[in-house]
Amino acid sequence: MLWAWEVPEDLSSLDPSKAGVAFLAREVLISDTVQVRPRRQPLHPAPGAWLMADVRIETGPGFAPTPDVRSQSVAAILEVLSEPNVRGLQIDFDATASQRDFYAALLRDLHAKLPPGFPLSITALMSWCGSGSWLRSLPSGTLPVDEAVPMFFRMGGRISRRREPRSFAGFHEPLCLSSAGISTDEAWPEISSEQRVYLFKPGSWTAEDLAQINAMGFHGLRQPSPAMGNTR
Amino acid sequence: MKPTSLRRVLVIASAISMISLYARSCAFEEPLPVFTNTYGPSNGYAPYVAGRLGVVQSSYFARNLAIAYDWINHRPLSAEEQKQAVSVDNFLLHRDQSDTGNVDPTPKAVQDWIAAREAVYAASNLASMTPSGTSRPVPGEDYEDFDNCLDEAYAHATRTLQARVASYGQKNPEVIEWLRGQDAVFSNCTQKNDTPKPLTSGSVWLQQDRAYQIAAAHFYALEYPEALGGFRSIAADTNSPWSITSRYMMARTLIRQATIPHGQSPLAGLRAAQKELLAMRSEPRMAKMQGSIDDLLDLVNTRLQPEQQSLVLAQRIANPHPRNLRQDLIDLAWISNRPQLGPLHNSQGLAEINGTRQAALGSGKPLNDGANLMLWIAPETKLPVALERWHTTHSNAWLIGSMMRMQPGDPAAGELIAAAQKIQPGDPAYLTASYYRLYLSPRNDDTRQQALAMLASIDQSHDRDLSAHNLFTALVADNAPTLDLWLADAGRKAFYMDPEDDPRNTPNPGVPSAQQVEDVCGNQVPADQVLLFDSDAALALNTQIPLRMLAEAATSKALPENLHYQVAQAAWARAVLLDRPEIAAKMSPLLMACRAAWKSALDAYDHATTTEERHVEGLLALMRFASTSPSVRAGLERREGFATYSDWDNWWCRTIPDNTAPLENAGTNSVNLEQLSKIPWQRFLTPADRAEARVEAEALLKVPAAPAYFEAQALDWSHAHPDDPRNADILGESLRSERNACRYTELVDKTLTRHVFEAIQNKYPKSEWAQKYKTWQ
Repeated sequence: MLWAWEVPEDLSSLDPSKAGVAFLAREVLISDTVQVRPRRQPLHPAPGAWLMADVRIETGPGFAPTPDVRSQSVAAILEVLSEPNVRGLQIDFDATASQRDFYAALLRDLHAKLPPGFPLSITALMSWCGSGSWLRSLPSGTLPVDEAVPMFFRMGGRISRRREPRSFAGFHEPLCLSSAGISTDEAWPEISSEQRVYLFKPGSWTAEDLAQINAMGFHGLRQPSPAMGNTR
Repeated sequence: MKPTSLRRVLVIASAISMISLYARSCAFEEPLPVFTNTYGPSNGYAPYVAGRLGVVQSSYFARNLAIAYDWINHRPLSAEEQKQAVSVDNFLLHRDQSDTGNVDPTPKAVQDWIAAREAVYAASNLASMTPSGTSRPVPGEDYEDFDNCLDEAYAHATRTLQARVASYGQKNPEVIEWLRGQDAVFSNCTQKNDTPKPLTSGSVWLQQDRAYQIAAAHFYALEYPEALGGFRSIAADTNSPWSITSRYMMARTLIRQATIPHGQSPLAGLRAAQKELLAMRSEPRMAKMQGSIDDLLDLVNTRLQPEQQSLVLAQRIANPHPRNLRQDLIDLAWISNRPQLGPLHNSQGLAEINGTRQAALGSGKPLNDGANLMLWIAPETKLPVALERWHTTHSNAWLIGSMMRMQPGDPAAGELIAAAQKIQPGDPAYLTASYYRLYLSPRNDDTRQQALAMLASIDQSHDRDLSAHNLFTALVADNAPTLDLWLADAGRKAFYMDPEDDPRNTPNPGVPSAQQVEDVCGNQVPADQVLLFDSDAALALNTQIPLRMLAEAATSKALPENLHYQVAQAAWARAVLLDRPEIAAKMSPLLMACRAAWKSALDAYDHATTTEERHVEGLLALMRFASTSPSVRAGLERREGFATYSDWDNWWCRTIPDNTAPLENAGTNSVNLEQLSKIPWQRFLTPADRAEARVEAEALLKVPAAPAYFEAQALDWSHAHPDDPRNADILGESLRSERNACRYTELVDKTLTRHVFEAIQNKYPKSEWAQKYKTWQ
């Protein structure tokens, strides 16, 4: 899956049989009420592309995890299903520890309102993927999501935190094992052929990028791994 | 930032709530301590725009540099300008659309409109339409919306309604008819809905208002020819109260037509709008709309001619009382950072803009304030240009701009240092000038004393700038004459950590904290007493300080308490790898005091009677304690402390990580010998110390990543000592390290892994290791 984020994207030459597109459809800003920011950049997927709508949740001053706020948030998120050809939903929320109960309840509400079998994905901090993960250990039980995509990178202008390339070593949470979020400009973990890959690029995807993906899948964009003795 | 300076590496800020132009906040599994902010001020934005600049760095965002330029050049920002600059920061960093700094779920203007109209409908017991929203899908685009009805449209409608109510009464049928018409206008905000019906009878004011409402409805419905025709007709009717506004709306319609939907040739449309706006500027009756016309011209020019417009913006910003500093800073940020994201997808970047500008320097024509400002901001402006500007202008801005771009030892450094010394305390440039002056000064006691004096001044300030504190602390350390004096400044306090719900995060500087955190030995310590190594300190400890001095550092009272154990462990691991048992033995008591679990392994190593025996006991000890590494860490200490096992942070990939790189990339590569030769030595190291450190570094760099090292050593030992009863453990521990340590595929040797696995399976099939590891992969 190629992430199409806050940049204009022309993905019309992407082979739909090679990759789908997870695009930022809207941002939901939650304080004591809910504000929605729709996507502001053009997106041109290829005909027949498998599209997943991403909704980014951010909390602002006065964040109040009330049932009313939650139901407004769910309603705002579900509106993306009316966008053309959306076949999956991904929620992107770096919930802090104090926000996890709210997030879990929101995901349950979403899951209840989605069509049966409709894929529901979330992005995950790597710290969510170890043993005793909160994804599974809340009193309300395991989150009703199909996958939690561990983010092995920082996005956009933020900086990388890890000093070594990430890996699945230490991942015990099953929701985190079936996929990987990686970036074209950072080191990648070892990825098995059974894992779904979400690929991010700072900036817009170019025609050359898409040609590489069409020819070789995501491996076509692999950066050479840093080796001892090389400098940046 | 001075990324090319190997003398000091400034840590890139973790972006205080920074939302990149591209995307979202990111997924971290541990916070990154930030010692120095390199994108903007670290001590609050309001103090910064009020002239308390801290130490300005060339890596700051363009708008932050522009503000610094003004203050440094004694062009202070007025109270109103400061307020506008803070508003820009809120807008760009926190996506706060309102000037008040609050995120409002519905813009206030819309709320006010709803309230005003509801009052009119209610007064006549009438049902009202559901009010519309503000954004609308871009035609021809399936996934993109745009802001169609702006706040000012709603605000203007509210004012007009209130005026009509005031003149004619809330229950007047014509007022209600006006309101119905306005509802029809706004029904087009989110999708095509209604057009107000034309009126051929009724009061003149209503008919005039209605004509305007119809044109506006076409505008919001993206029916541009109809809108343009309507506004043009009203503009020509000088009796209409909407004549002037309609003239202005003609330009807005042309801009909208050029940009929404995304056409093939927006440039032509924008040029038409530009022409119309320039004509309006010379029409006397349009004088009262001059500000709005200029705003639209700025919008158009930013897209049509970003190079020229950047100079226009910079000229305004560099001079007092710009009409709209807020918008000028936003536009400057837009041009500086992302012209390629505009509707024209203009790929011209600041580099090209400044290339042209720098070429103008050779023309002999003097540069105006705007051109100077743009050159000052640009990272592409190199030292020769900066020096030329300094020699021409003798401005404080170019003095500092030159020093920012200079390295110690430059022939021109003395001249700049002398000039910077004349800047007095109280001058907004003082702290920045002092920092770069001392950075460029020779390393000696005098420079150190001056840096200490600056540090004292910073620490006594009521708004202590921790980022500046860390910068000057690094200067003090760089000029330390002894190891102990260097150690006293090696540990620093991060001024910021990511806002996670983790009690180990450093609380806000200056705020006393009662929070306790666990140190690497499992003891509870006050959070605000935890000091960490910045990249420059880690670099020195890992590449320059010979092992015997590293061992001294581990026991020195000058080193912050919480850093002793990390240094001791690095010294111990390094001693084992370099076969220096006398050093390792000195570290054993420290390590055992930290974690008693070390004892048996360290005793076995310390009491080994032969070189061979010592080697294998050292190997076992290294493998048994997953925290062992021959280097100290910049930034956070290992969260799992010492000896304990981590899910993903065990042993080492690199014996000497590349701490010349920014903190977040330290460890991604190893420093190499060529880099080592370029790193200026710490002052307190003698030639003999340096030679000793270099020999040790060369030897350490030959040690591969921990799994490869352990596996090779384990295989060698088991081959040479086939009857050693410890072989199963030696081989098994090496296999464990391969599973749980360095993940760079280039740094691990799968052939070795396979051999280790086969050795265990074939020779020790009943061992716990053979049961534990059923495959070699």
